Formats: sequence, structure tokens, C-alpha cells
Amino acid sequence: MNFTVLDWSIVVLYLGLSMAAGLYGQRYISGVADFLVAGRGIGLFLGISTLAATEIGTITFMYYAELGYKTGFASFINGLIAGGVMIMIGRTGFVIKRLRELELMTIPEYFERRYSRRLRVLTGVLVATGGILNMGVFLKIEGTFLAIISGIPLEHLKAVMTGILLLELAYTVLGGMVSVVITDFIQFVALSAGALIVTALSIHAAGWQKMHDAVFNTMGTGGFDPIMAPQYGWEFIAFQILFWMAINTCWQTTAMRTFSTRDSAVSQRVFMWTGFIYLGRGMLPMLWGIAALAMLGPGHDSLNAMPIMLGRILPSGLRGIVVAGMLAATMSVNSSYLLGWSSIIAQDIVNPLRRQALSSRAQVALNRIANVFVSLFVMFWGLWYTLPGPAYFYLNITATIFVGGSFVAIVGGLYWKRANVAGGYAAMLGGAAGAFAFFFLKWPASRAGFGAFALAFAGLVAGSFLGGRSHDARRLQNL
Amino acid sequence: MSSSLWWQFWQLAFVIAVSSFALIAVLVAIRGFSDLRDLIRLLKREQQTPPAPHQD
Repeated sequence: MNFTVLDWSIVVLYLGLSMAAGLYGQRYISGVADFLVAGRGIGLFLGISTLAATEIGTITFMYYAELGYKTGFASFINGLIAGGVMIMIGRTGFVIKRLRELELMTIPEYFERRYSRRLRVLTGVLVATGGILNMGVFLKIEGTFLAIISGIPLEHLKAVMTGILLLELAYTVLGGMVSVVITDFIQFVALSAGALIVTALSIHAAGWQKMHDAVFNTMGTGGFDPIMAPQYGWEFIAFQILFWMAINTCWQTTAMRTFSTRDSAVSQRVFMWTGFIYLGRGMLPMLWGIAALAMLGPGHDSLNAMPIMLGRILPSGLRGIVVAGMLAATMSVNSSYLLGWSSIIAQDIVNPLRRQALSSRAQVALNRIANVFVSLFVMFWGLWYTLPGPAYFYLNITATIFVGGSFVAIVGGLYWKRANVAGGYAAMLGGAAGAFAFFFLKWPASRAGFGAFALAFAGLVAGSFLGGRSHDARRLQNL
Repeated sequence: MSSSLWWQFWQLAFVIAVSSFALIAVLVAIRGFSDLRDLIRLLKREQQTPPAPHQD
């Protein structure tokens, strides 16, 4: 066991504080808009903290560190694209400005406004499938990290992770987005401190020049040049640019932050500044992976190398602070994802299929039931499923099941008058088909991902030209 | 681009990434609290306002 009493005290104190703050949020829930988009009252700094905390988890640190360990400094291209694309979206307001002005609560809701109610339900099914499969591997990977770094035997860790999931579930079910935003603020501060401490210690322990030499000796030029690296190349870079444009605009948990801001101007500023955080969100953990390569050498399990390295270099006390930071990252992501995917099941699948719309209070209850359902699925999927390759590629492809189609259909719907219901269907189904090629035809991730966007685009154009008269797009323009 | 040029480029990118991450984290830690207070105030005000008749 690597943990001392001091480390445990820090972690328990953090968990208590986080829970108390989360439970405090429930008193401010008076309807579904408070539960899902915090009454649309989020300002710039709170917006940055909730967006960053939602998309920076232990899972993020693990898969990016794995990329650093396997592909060296060339992996930095992923952080650069993710951050650069987000800064560009914040500067221009591309998609997010118009989506915020529509006062939506979920991404599939747009499909009913612009296309049709049935397409909203189909989109809801694809979004929930992709999102929940994506989240399904989180617990196992996060559990592995915490087991290695704290020295807890793996059989106990399943119980610990279940406990953490129940804590997150408790405050998410009760306080919805209000609780999530409050805890995200605390969690963002804790995870940032943890990430910066780990970065400084990794550089100190491994040495900057040694990291360079380890990458060069293991991978040669491909460890620095993303065009030459066998895992990357132009096809991958093009896919990543498209992928991050789609994720930053259409990923439900990110979009919920767009919808929760005070207005579209605030939401643009939130994106621009969070884009700079996204540079570090990628490059910091990738550097930890490279430090693990320099200290441990190649040949280790790529996903576990970083936590093994941290377990060796973190002194007592600091270990507790870092684990509290990582738990913060874990909880902020999981609670937001629980809320995000269950809101889709409640708002976009169950509610539209009813003859009579549910009251606001009943919608909150339905969202809470969906929270529990998603938690149960995530717990069992995490225990059962084995990743087919690097975690990053699995996460990319499960996301692409819906982001490829929804990005194309949303951009088409917002900026192309001719886009119609048939085009919307073809885009969603084409995007999903491309992503499934990764699982069933064993295509490489970049080809399957790129194919998903290409099929979605072809589907939207062909469907819109062949599918007859357009849906009345003026409904959106008049809002 | 040779590997040494890429190496220079990634070092520069990393310095920008880590310094902007740290700077924004500090700013958010200082200023986020007042945003949080404003949000709570807004939600409290909403709770005290009776709902419009067409709403739930």
C-alpha cells in the first residue's frame, strides 16, 4: 500500500467537501431548465471551469499519457488540434453562437426544431448509444489508475469505484446541473493543481533531455514528426480536425455548457479561453507518458506505464493531493456525463414518444431515473468489456457514432437552406455506419472516422436533393 | 520538417500550453467564485418568482 494516513485524510476531506457542495445545489432546482442547464445563468469563469472540468478526467490523463508513451512528442499534435479548433470556434462562434440563441437543452432537440420529431428520436438513440458506450470504459481505466498509484489491490478497487460512482450519482440525481457546476468549480481547481504538480515532478524526475533521447531511441523521427509517425499522418490529422470541430460543437456534455451560459457572447468567450486549457489538457498528460517511457523504458503495458511512474515519484502527502486532484477529475467528468447521456434518454427518446408531454417536474423525475439506469450500465459494461486497442481510438470511434452525423446535419441545418428531413436521416445513418466499420470491419480508427464524416456529408447532400421539399427552415430563423 | 525542428516546435507549444493552463486556472480560481454567487442569486430569484400560467 503506497498511501499513508496523511494521504487518506486529504482524499477523505476532499470527498466530503465535494459531496457537501454537490448536495447544496439541490435546493435550487425548481424545474427542468435548472436541472439540465442551470437556469442558463453561467458566467465566463464558471463556464470555463465547468467546461474544462467536464472534459478533463482521469480517463483523459490515462489515454493521452498512453499516446505519449506510444507515440512520443508526435502525440502533441492531438492536443494542438483539440485546443486550436476550440479557440477558432470561440473566436468565430461557428455553430455554437446559433445553437445558444436557440435556447436548446440537448443536441437532438435541434433536430426536432429543424427537421422532424422522429429524427430527433433517432438522433437521441444514436447519441445515447455512442455516449454511453464511450463512458462505459471510464470506470475500469480510472480504477486501474487509482489502484496502481495508491497501491490498493484490484479486487478492492472495484468496490471503491462503485462507491465513488454512487457518490457522484447522489448529487447528480438530486441537484442536476446546478450541483454539477458547483462541484466542477471545486474540482477544476483541485485537478489543475494536481496536473501541474505531476507535470513539474515528471520533468524533474525524468529530465527533459532524457525524455527527448528516450523518444528518439525508441521511435526515431516518427516520435517527433506527426506526418511520419505510423499512427498518424495526413489522414489522421484531417480526421482529428473534423472530429474536434464536431466534438466541440455537438458533444452533448460540451453543448450543455454552451446552452447553460448567460448568452452567446459569454459562450464564445468560454470556448476561446477553454481552448487554451485544451492545449494543456492534451500535452501535459502526454508528457507524463513520455516521462514514463524515459524512466521505465519501452515494453510496459502502455496504459499503465504513467500511473506506475507516478507511484514511484510521488512523495507521501503530495500523493494524497494528486489523488484528490485525480478523483476530482474523475467525479467532474462522470457526473457531467451521467447528466448528459441520461438527459438524452429522458428528453429526446422517452418524452417525445409520449402522446402528451410530461410536466417540468415529471421531466426532472424521468431524468433522475435515467441517471440511475446509465450508472448501472456503465458499471457492468466497464467490468465486462475489453478495449480492442489504444483507449483514445476506441473513445474517438464511439463518439463518432453520432458526432459525425449530427455535426454534418447541424451545420447543414444552420447554414444550408436546402437541407431537409431525408438529408438529416441519411447524414445520421451514414455517420453511424462509418463508425461501426471500426468494430465490425476492423478498419483503422482514422479511416473509419473519416469515412463516417464523408458518408454523413454525402448522405446529407444526396438526401436533401432527392428527398423533396425542405422542412420549413424559417421556424429557426424567426426565433 | 526535420525532427530537430519538430522538437523545437513542440517545446515552444508545450511552454505555451502549460503557462496558459496555469494562468487560466489561477484566474478561474479567483474569479469563478463571484460567478457562482451570481448564479445562486439568479436561481434564488427564479424560485421566488411565481411561474407563468402556461408553464408547468
